[in-house]
Amino acid sequence: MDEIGKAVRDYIIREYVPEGDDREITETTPLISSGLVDSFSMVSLLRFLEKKYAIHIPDADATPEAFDTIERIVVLVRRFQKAEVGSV
Amino acid sequence: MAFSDTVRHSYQTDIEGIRAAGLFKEERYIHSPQASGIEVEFPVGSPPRKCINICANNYLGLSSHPEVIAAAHAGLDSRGYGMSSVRFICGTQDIHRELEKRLTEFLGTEDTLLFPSCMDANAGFFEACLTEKDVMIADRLVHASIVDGMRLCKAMQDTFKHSDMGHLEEKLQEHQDKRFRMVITDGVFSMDGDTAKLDAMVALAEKYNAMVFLDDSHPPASLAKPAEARTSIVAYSARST
Repeated sequence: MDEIGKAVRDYIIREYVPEGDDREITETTPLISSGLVDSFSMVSLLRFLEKKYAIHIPDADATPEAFDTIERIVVLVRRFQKAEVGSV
Repeated sequence: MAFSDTVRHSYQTDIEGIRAAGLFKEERYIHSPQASGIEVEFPVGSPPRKCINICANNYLGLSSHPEVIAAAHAGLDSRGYGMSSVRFICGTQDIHRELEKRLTEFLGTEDTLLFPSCMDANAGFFEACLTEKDVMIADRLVHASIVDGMRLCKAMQDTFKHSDMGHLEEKLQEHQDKRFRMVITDGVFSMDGDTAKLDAMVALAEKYNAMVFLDDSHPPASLAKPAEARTSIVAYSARST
């Protein structure tokens, strides 16, 4: 797992996993489809990514599918990091 | 409503998918007043059967109470069926205000504003009170009507792990840069029946200069002991004035 993946995993554990729950969160663990993160609470994950990586993720791209695993989230972050660099 | 065959087909496909998933809800027609014992037609077309009803929010049996029914009859005779107007145009009667005052006394609040339902209140409240300069911090298991109301509001949205006061405190610390902070919770969470940690929540709200919004649709004994059940909110209100 790369640095972005680790940072996202740490945030998800801190923000969403109940205290005392020692479940493993891997790159492919379903986050949204498992109910760990729902569309209501997903907004804080979106805000975390935008703030930490200085990117903007449009609403159309901030979908439950795109956020369902750490693997997909990393792809999303890298995509918008490139977009930010390209716009400079 | 006029719609094309394409639209009709799309909706029918959606409905078939819902049925296939076992999620289509058939209505049950009740042939009696709401009560603990009711007569239910289900499936549709079958003779009504007597059933014990444990799925209404009719906790004190007021839905069909003789005094409530008599008062409704008296109201229909003296004030008519409805106002055909929103409140602020010409839809407020003296009895609206009388009820609001009586509820204020009963609940120990500063004032009361009536809505047709709690769902309507939740839809209208947040956008009326908060702006993009503010933040709403809701328990993750708040009722869906609160989520809908929050989505109508321009304030920032955030959530905390269900009943986790440590996580709530982190959120309150995080959002100290906002103009107003509003902590949002149910009093009793409708799916599991657990209650909010109101005392701790109000203490945190005081510490971090935040308001507390409480949806008390399912109050635990509060109608029998309103002052005691609402100690935290009443105390919070008193301390804040």
